[in-house]
Order: sequence, then C-alpha cells, then structure tokens
Amino acid sequence: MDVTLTAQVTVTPSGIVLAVAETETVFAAARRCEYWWPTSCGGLGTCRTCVLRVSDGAEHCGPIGDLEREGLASIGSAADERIRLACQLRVTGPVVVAKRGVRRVEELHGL
Amino acid sequence: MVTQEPDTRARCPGPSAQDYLAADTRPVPDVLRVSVNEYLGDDDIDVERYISPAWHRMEVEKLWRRVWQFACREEAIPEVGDHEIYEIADDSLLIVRTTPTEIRAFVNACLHRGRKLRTAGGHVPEFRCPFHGFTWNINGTLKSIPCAWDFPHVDPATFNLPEAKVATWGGFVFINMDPDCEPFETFAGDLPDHFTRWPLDDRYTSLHIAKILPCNWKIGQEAFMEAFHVISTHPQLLAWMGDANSQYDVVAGTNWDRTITPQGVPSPHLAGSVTEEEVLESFYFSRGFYASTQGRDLTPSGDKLPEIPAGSTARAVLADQMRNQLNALSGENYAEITDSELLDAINYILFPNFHPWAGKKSNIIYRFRPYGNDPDRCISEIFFLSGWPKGTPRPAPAKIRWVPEDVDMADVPELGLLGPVFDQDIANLPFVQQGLKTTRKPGITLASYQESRIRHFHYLLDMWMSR
Repeated sequence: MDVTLTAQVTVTPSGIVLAVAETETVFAAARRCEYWWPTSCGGLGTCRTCVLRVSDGAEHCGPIGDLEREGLASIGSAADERIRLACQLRVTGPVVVAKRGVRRVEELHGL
Repeated sequence: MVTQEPDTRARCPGPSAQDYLAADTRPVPDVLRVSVNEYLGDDDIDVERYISPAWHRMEVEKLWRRVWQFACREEAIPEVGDHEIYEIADDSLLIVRTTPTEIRAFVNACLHRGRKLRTAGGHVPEFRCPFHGFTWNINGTLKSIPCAWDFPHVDPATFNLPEAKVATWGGFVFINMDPDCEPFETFAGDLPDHFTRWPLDDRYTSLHIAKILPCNWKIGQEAFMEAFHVISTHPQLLAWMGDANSQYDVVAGTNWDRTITPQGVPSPHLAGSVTEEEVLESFYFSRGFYASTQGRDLTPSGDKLPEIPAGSTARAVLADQMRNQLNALSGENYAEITDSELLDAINYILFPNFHPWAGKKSNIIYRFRPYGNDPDRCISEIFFLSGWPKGTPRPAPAKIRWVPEDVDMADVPELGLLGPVFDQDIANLPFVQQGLKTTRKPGITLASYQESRIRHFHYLLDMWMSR
C-alpha cells in the first residue's frame, strides 16, 4: 500500500507506535500494520467497540463526524471530546491514545 | 354523482382567474387554461373525523397503511447508505439509497426483539441494531447475527427487513405500505404532465420548517386548501390578491386538485376602491411568499417603486419586475414566462397530504400528517424549493428545522414576511379543533365552490375509509 505516513500514534499501555497516513483512520493503520484492534463490526463505525481515549495531542485529531457522534452518544461519551472511535479517527500529528486490547494479530492465537 | 360545468354554478362577480390568464402578457400554457369543477354535493362533513381517536385508528389502518405518501426528497439521500426516517402514526420506515439508482424503504424495526434500528437519518455502512447487534446490509438482507449458534431456527437467507413500495417523481420519494397498491403512476394520474414546465427535481430544498400544531392534520391542511379565509384571516393581502376570484379545479375521479389565485390584482372584496398604484405599492409592502435569503423576494431597486405605464397594469409591471429579478439571480431567461407563473398562487394537492405549488418562482411544498396517534395534533411542514445560478453546483438541501410550539413563524427569519402570514393561519387552528368539540352541530358546512377542494378531499377520504 502506497501511503504517506504523516502522523505517529502511540497506544498505551502497550506502547505500540503506529505510523498513520492522513488518508486513513487509526483503526485502518493498525490493521495495515497487522495489529488487532478490538471491534465486532470490522471498522465500519457501528459497533463502538474500538472506542479509545485521547490522552495527548487532541489538537491533532480530526473532527467528529455524524456517525461517530451518534456512536459516542450511544455509549454515553458525547460530552467528552477526548473519547473517540478508532475507526473514525483521523490524525494530522502526534497523538497518544489509551486503549487496552491492541496487540499483534499473531498474539491473538495464544489467547 | 351530479356534474355541473363551472359556468352553471355561482362564481364571484368580477374577472375570473381565466380572465386574468387570458389577459396575460405571454401565451399561457394549456395546463393553466383548464378549468373544471365537478359538483360533489353540499352535505355537511361530520365532525367526528377530526376529533375522534377511533377515527384516527381507522385512518391509520385504511388510509395511511395503504395510500401513496410523500416520504422525503431524493436530494436528502444522494449517496449509497444515506437514509431518512419517515414516520406516520406508529409506522417508521427507513428510506435508503441502496444503489446509485435505487431507493428502498424498510420497516424500521429489528427482527430480533423489535427495537427501532435507527432513530435518526444519516449515513451508515450497515444497519446494526443498538440492542444486541443484529446487522442488516443496506439492501435489507441479513448481514450477521451475534452468537449465531444460538439462532439455529433462523434462516439467514429469509431474515430480511420487510419493505414498502417506493416511487419517485419530481425529486420526491413516495412510499406505500400496501404490497397490493396500485402503481404510483396511475395514482398520480396526469399530475406530472402539469409540472413539465415547472420541474421540481430541478430545485433544491432551500428551507425545511416543521412545527407541531394543536389540531387534527386535516384541520391543518384544510386551512391551505382555499383562499376564502383571506378576507378575515389575512385582510392585509386583499389589496393585491384576487382571493375570491380563485379558480378551484376538482375532478372526482382524480387524486389531485388545484387552486389558482391571481395575485397582483385587487380582491373583489375591494372592487372599485383600489387603484393600480395601490395594488403595486401594497404588493411590495406586504409581499412575503419568497424568503429574502432564497433570493425570491420581489424587492424594489432603491427607494422608488416602478412606474405603471399608461394603459398597463400593476400585474404586468410586477411580473416584469419578477422576470428581471429572476433573470439576474439565476442566469436563465424568463422572457417567455407568463405573468401567472411569476405571480399567482398555483397550488396543487395530491391526496392525501402532499401540496406542491407550481410556477417559476421558488416553489412551496406543504405536508400535514398526524403527530403520533393524537387526533388533536399534527406535524405541519413547509419546504421551499428554489433554483440556483446556472453553471454552479447544486446546493446541499436544508436540514429540517423544528419550530417549537411556543415560537412564532414570524421568528423564523428565512420565512420572510410569509412567517406572520403563517402565524395568522396557525392562530385559527387550535380554536377550530376546540370549537369542533364544543359545537352541537354534527357537521361542518362548506362553501359550494370556494371550499370544493375540501369537499374533494373528503370525497376521496370516504372512498378509502369505506374500502
């Protein structure tokens, strides 16, 4: 995949670092780099399982769209703009996010 | 049924709408020269249908679940996955663009435990129930069941969302919940032929207002089916509106009817007491059918009103001014457009509740429907459909704006001077609803001609209710 990687997303507590293109979401970058990110809808924005918390770099996070806003409202997080859906979140600069359960795909087999 | 030709029944003295059309400064299209009013009787209309919960329940079963009805504009769902929710009484439908060329309507309820799948329109890649996560593709086929092992009794191939029929015309999406309904094309009859000069798919929604009114939906819309009420409800319009000269076209066997109200002419109620200059001046002063933000107000250039040349009329001058203004706004040529299409209120209704206005200005669309299952309340909506400058992209449609019950239409700036006119209409409605409950008279009495469209509506409604 030919992408320009412009932003670095650090996932805590795992310490995983993702290089994310402006054209993709954090979730898509994780998939591209063969990381598992919790989901049940596959990154379509409908299951809200990929929810994360932005702990640093909120100013580099893209706007919240209608589908994401609806999803955040459904899990009671509409008022806190640091809570985002990874499958909808685009970034333009370094961001640190908190999300448990992100791990390399091959590690899933041992769980 | 007794049929009488228009010239055998009483009409308002003075020039008729057809007389004004005959004097138009441009050749008038044939569809406007049609004048027909079939006599459908003069019996009172029973009050019960406006106030009774039982009547409402019958209406849902016999009318709303079987009749073609306007659901949304096509422009509101341009991309695959875009959807609107259309609700009528207890029924909720997802109106979905399923392919670039296909729109379908699905019953908005999960087939698992019945939760509504969506509570707002928008764009989704799939319909996933927020309760347990049963998921359907946007074409209504089952996509996935969580814990599918626990549903061996469900056949995924047939677990599809039930759907209603869909038809489109003029940029409008119509739905019908009756699988055995007649095609929309025969239901609408020759209505589309009337709009070939005024294509509504070539307009965008520049304003969409909704308000809950404290009256039955039929009371609401009947206030917009005749110009008879102008003399008492809108006296400020009399100097330039030929209210009692209005033409009402009614054919028993068709599902649409029409009013043509000449404008830029004095009311017959003021016959002999208004000069052409006063018509022109009052028109500019109280004109309010086209919101200024949509560029459809007729506004004088500078402080001076245009002169009426000797031998001309206020109507001809106003039409010329409108022609010039629309030319400048849209880049289109209005030179051949008739005075009538630029000035008159040409209002059609497709049964039961779809009210498209015709003509070459911004068009108004009204819709009235029950508010839930409350016979004492209704949802009223106003759409403005406007043109846009030639050669520029189609503007995005305006989103619906709900005006709270305690807020006046006058406080909606985009309605311009039309806002206060609506407030005058709305002011009557709760008191009609209340009056119909206190009256000892079992039915309302209609004017034979000026209220013949209300008569036609109930003629059609009675047919649906008796099927």
